Amino acid sequence: MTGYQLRRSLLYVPGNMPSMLQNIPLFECDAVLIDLEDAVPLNEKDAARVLVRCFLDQYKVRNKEILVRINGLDTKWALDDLKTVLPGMPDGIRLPKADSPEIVERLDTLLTEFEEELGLDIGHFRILPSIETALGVINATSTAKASTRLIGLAFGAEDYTATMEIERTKSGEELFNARMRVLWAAKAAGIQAIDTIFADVNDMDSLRRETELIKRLGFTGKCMVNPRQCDVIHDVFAPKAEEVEHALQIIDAIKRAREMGTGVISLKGKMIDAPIVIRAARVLRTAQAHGLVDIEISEEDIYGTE
Amino acid sequence: MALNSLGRDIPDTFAGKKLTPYRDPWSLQPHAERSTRAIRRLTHNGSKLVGGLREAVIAAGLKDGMTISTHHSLRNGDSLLNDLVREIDALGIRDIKIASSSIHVVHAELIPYIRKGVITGLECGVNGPIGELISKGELDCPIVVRSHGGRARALICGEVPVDVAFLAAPCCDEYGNFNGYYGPSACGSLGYAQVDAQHAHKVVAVTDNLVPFPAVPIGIPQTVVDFVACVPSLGDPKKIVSSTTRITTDPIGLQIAKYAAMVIRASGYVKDGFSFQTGTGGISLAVAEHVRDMMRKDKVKGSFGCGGITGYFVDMLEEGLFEALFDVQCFDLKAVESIGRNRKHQEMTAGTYANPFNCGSVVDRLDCAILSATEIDVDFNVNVNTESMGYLLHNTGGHCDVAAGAKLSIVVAPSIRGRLPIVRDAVTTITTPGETVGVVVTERGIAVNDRLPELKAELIRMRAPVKDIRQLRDEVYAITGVPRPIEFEDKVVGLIEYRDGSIIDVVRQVRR
Amino acid sequence: MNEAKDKGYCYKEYGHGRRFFLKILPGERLVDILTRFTQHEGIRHAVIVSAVGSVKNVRLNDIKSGAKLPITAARLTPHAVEGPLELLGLTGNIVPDESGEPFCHLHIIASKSSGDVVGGQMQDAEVFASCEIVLTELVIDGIARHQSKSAGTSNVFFAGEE
Repeated sequence: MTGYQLRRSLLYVPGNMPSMLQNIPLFECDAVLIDLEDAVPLNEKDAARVLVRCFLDQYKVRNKEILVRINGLDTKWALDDLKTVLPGMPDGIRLPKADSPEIVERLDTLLTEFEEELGLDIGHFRILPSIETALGVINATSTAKASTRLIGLAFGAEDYTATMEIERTKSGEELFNARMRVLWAAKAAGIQAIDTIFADVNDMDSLRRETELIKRLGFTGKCMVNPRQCDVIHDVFAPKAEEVEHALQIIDAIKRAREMGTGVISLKGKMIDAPIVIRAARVLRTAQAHGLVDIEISEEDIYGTE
Repeated sequence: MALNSLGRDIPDTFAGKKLTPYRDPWSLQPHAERSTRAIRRLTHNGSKLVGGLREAVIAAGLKDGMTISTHHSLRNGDSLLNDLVREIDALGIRDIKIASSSIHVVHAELIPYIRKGVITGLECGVNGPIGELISKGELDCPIVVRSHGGRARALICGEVPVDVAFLAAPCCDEYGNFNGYYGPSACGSLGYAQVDAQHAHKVVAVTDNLVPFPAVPIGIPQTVVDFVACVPSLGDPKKIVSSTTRITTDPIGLQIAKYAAMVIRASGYVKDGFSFQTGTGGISLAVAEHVRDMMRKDKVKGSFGCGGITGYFVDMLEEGLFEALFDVQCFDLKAVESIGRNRKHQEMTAGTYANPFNCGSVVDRLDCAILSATEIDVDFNVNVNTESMGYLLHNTGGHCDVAAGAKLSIVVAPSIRGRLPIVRDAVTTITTPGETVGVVVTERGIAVNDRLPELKAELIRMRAPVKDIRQLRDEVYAITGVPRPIEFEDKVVGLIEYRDGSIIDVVRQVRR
Repeated sequence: MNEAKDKGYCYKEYGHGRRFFLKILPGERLVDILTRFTQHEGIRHAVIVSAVGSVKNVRLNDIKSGAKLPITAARLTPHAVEGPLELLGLTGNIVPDESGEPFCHLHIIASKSSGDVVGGQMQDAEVFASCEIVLTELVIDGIARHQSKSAGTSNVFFAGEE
């Protein structure tokens, strides 16, 4: 998973439901979060673990990122979760209740041990921590820098509102501050910011509104509980035609600039330099994932050659 | 025995009739005149009212060995056929063949009468337990499964002579004019009954809603109706027009629908003059919704929608997305209500809809059609008649007619049902030849028939998940394993007749 | 001599050797200077008594939560602090490694302008304005550093210890 990994849509799949697991290859989301935590009742923790491992073992040719949400590190199941699923080679672990950087570090060091045991490169397994309590939100800034394994921070509104003793609403004003804090922490650390699930699978209009809002705020993806939500989320994250057009012009301009031996060029009276090029590249890569353009953006296009 | 062109063993004769093995969808030419019936003259001002069903059977002169028919527009709410056979039995009449337009689960009540010898042959396909028992060898009753168009052709060409048609008439006057729009058993279009009304030797209109003359608008006219019989009820209204017209919420079904919509988009047919047919299943409706959104977005004025009509299609008509609906059968109350008041919602006979032997049927004008499947094979052949156990459980409906007619026939199905592979090496029974199937859409990808290279290229350009059908099969087999072939006895218990009357496949007794 | 295994520790008395006061110039790197200085003076064992001044480009490591032995790079969080920082303390010793070269095992405490303190195992630091170090030579033999497989670090071993 080098460079630019699109994570617009991350689908929760209960780890105790064979029928849902079987369909993972078919879903059109960017990533799945196979859940061993909240979706699995206490008396099925062991069975679910084994089921998920079997699924991972037979799902060899992967077409999306696979993260497993283990039980919290403070529970008696977490270590067994890791022991059972890691040899099935998920791409990473979604860590619930990442309330402090130490919790992330603890998972980091555990993953190191498993990688040594499995003979993998250290750092192979990635981490996506859930910021889902008041404490987690407060510590998000440090948590975002707690490990080089982090691919992003994920905000979990359901648990967050519970710890705040408030109701979650469809307009979401109560989440605004927490979301911003998670966003700042993630952006400051240079990792992705992933937004919380939207629970009402029948209310596509509110889902769309919420996704539009979080995209405007800076989130790059959203978790979801039902594959039906995928289309709306992808649609919102899809770059608009004019954005794509503009990005193409920028890449074109910077290539011309480099041919002339400069890293800066003016396009329609606006200066084009590195940050603008990087943003344009992101737009085009997203557009490509949506099938809107057929263009490969290389690192060289973005940063030039030395 | 002879092999037909698809490699299926076809016996020389069945139930005493000589058979023509299937060759291809197009080349078989008819050599027949329109079937005729004796012209009759009603006694001046004579009454057609004969009382109840028993009197109607007697008046129509039904005798041992004859063939009767009913129409299936009341679907699983129909009680006429069951009541009719009970009366036939009570009169001591035996060895009757049924040539109805279709038989439903509700008609399982006929089973004892088949055992008793009252009914000795079915000139039509069946849905449900009768077919299962025949497949198991527990019922001895030769069965010929026909498509809607094929049945119309068989009646019109006189291949299946119907001695008496007993036609459920939801709104009927004493002189035999009737329609399906009103009354407690309203079913909307009488598309199937139209054929019987024109070609059966005797026609009895059976009604539970006798209205003062004239019953307008006239669907089937007094000029072809010999008798009118009154019964307390024709059926259960709750089951007559009760199709589930809810769009599926199953993510797999929705994914299939989305891919099917991609195929329709890629075909380029969604432009002014677009014509479309889809079924009533949750997936089909989800496809229809995508189509509707496409048409709205591109401001497309379609030509027509056709087939069995749902409220969904009615909405599209009223929104102006289509110029007309051709309706052979109404699936819900909204469709019934619409056909009774909207001239652009046209009633269509089964012959007009799909008979291959006329000067062009409506299916020939179709751009895209969505079809279902119980099995699909790597040659694109589709089975809708038998299920995984090899039992005959479903009628063909318009499946092979629409596939042959439409410019682009799209078969939608989940690639796995339960633990069973739906895409497989060979289908148990061929209903529809692969040659007439354009695209197979499953949740695992889209397989395009080699006949349509441009469509395939366009889908690839759109980044649709195009796969070779063999690749789909392999993926599915990798999950389900390769199913053990069903074992059959040699005994042929039924025929799958292609729309042109040739035999595309047979149903053999399942080995127990 | 399995003293350590029995008691949990082992020790040896040392005698006082020479005592030095060092002034290190701006831009010089602490580990480099200490290594060169001890080699130049023929010092085999030494201890840092005090260190004050200011430093920049400090590289140090801290151990991650939950880390188990052996300590490997993956179990450490590296920090690079550009500074400049006040050097509040440097504590540690110099003991020869397997090859007989002096090995500096140093821990640093330094403060930012906010008054916040950073600290950890020092990899290296550069003198900013000045640096004054007081160092004592230890007269002792039979101790050397070896890479410990179980700990993952370079540990002091006493002659005869297993």
